[in-house]
Amino acid sequence: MEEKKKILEVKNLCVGFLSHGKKMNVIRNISLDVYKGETFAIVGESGSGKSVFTKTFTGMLDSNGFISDGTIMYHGQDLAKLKTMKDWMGIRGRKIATIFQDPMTSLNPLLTIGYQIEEVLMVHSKPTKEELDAYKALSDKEKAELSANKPSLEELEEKYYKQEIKYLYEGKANFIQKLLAKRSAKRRAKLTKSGKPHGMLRREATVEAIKLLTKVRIPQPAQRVKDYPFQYSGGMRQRVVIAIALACRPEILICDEPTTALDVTVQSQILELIKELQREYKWTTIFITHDLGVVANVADRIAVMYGGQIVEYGTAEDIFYEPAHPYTWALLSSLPQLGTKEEPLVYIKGNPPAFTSEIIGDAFAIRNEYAMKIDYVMDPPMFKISDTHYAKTWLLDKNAPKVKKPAIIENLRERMKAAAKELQREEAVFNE
Amino acid sequence: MATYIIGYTLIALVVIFVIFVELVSHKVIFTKSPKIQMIFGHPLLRYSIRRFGSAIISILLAITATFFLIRFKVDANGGESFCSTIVSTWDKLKNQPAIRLDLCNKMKANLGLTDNWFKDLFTYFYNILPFPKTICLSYFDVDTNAMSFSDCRNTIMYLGRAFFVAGSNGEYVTDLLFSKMGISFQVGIIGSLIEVGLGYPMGILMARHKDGVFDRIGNAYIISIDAIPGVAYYYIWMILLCTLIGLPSSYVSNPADPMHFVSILPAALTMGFTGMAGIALWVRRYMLDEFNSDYVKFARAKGLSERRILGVHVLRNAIVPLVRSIPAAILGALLGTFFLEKIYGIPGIGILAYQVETASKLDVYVLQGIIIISALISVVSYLLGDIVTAIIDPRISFSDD
Repeated sequence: MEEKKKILEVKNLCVGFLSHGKKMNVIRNISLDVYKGETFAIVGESGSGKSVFTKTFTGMLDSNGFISDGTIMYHGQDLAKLKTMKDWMGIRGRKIATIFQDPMTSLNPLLTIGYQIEEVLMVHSKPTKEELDAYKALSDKEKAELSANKPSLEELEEKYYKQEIKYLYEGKANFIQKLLAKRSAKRRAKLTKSGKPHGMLRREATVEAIKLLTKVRIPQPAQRVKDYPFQYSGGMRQRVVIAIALACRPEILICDEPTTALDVTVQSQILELIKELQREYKWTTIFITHDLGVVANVADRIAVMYGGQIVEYGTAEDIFYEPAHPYTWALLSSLPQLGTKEEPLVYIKGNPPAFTSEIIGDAFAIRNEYAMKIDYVMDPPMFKISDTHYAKTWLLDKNAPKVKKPAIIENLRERMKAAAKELQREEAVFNE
Repeated sequence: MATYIIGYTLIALVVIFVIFVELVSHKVIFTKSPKIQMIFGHPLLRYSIRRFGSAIISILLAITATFFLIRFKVDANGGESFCSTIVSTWDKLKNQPAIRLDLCNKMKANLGLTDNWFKDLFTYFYNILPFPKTICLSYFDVDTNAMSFSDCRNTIMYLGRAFFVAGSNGEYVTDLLFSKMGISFQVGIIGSLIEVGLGYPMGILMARHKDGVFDRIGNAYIISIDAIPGVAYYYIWMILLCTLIGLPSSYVSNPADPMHFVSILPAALTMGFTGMAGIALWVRRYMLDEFNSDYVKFARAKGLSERRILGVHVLRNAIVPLVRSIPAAILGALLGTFFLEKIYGIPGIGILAYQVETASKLDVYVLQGIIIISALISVVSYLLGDIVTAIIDPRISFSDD
């Protein structure tokens, strides 16, 4: 873990919201690091602040929300200090992309799937002002050198033409289509040969979009690229959303409950897809979910959030084998996969804390059957359990009584795997 | 002769086209040609044809209803009150009821009004159904006791003649309506263009800078337009445009006169400035609705600029419910507005309708002509509205399944 590079360093982050003239502290003093290339999961109930927390990474807090304290360091830049739209333009979408919960409404209903992918490709490939200025500053000789390094015009044209025919028309083009492809290939070859920085051309972007649709396993992408979102099912739409995220080529991909709106069989396909693409594109995934079953499948490290704080974090093994916080215990015990037929499902009584009044002591205390007197008075500090594992509960204090975690969460991973197998078997039977 | 050739050719073309579309869309012919299937078998095309067909039936029903209503008025009191308006010597001939009734019947015969309502109705249908025909009319003037005129005309649609509306001595109703509609349309189209051209940007700007200075001013304007009665508002604009700025307040009828265009400007501006408030209100409202939708959030997360999100994503979705009314606004300009035309003295169709309604002599065919035209315009504009909406919104389909 030590040799891994930190990509995102959050220190003492506090986020407030102004509502009816009152200030509510929704994120309370969060510190954590995200490492490059890992899958980091944030788990918690609805209202625990997990979405708000990740929204600060892309500056997408609602207009009445603000970062009141703390820093978010990303490549030496403090994201908490960015204010204007212009500041965010280089980060949002380009470096940190987000996939939202509901694929049914994430796509613009009036634009084709293709256009919505092409748009991203074209906008993001647009050269910056500095690049253009640098090109303008070059002397004629340097410009000539730049184009001399490139293959000849005919070669480029041939290559682009073949590419267009292959992807746009699946190898079978009629006379007019060939003519169109030739024209666009010519234009593209000229641009490339000149060495001038330029954005993607429309047809070039279409080719790229078709490639991306193939990547996310949309069948017959050359035809489906012209379809509208309403012609797609929920799972297919989420694939398109992922394709758009791919088009962004982000360093960090935030998946905000990407499978919640989908049914179980499609869920696992989408998770598998995200995992596979992550291996290929080597991005860092931040997974937000309330479903520990999803987390067990994908996450390297897990943070458990409650009441706007991180109450426990560690590797997936730490959380599933050695959970230390009573809230984590409660969460794990209430997994429906662990329920047996005779007994009622376990659930956490009460509601998450409202942020309208100041929270004194441990936010979870009132719902916690292991709560001690000190929990109502003082907020516990983060206790270190191992190098990777931290938890925020007084139970870990040396003066605390020793309590045993609930029996239901012993050997959790094995049992969840068994449950998953059982589900697969049932599905197989059902499919037959 | 030319009327006959052109008329029947057009009818034949329309019939062939309709049959062709129906055959193609029912997959009887050209089943293997995807291009022809795509163009002529398009659900929207078939939908338009059927919709237009059913529209013709509803227009005929509307004509029938109004025809009987008008005839009730004509023949009320045993026809006496109507006769007293069209025969100038009606009161003088008080002592010779037979003569004056005979005169009245002659006068009514001039107009094509007989005792048999149903016969008259079918004659009227024959006249207005669009196929080439020759219509002859002889007009016997009872006052001079001589044939006033007698002529024939080849025409496709005969709406009757106007006798009593000021200055229309036996003019064809079609000619009269078209000339009046032309005048109203000049005002209306400039007015609608101003309405749309200013209303949309105003709504967009207001939504873009919600709660900003412009939004507040715009809202104040919209509320004031809603609150002040229309006529009062027109007069306020007239004072502003004509008295303060100095635009002509009366209509210049000669189209060659350069003042002709200038003289319709005040009316058009008044219409535009008033109408833009309503458009801005709805554009702003729909845009704000769209701003909160998920795809806008996702577009932001994709890293698109705010300008692009507004122009490409939000605006397009926001205008879907609004475009339906654009054809109605443009075609509705043909019908004019009474108050505007009255205030600025523009002899358009609004004034004409008013004259017919309030004149002591009921000009039967002008009234029916106006009814037909307005029914036709509303039917066509709703059809066009549907088509435009379908073009903008791919989710709308007109197929049966």
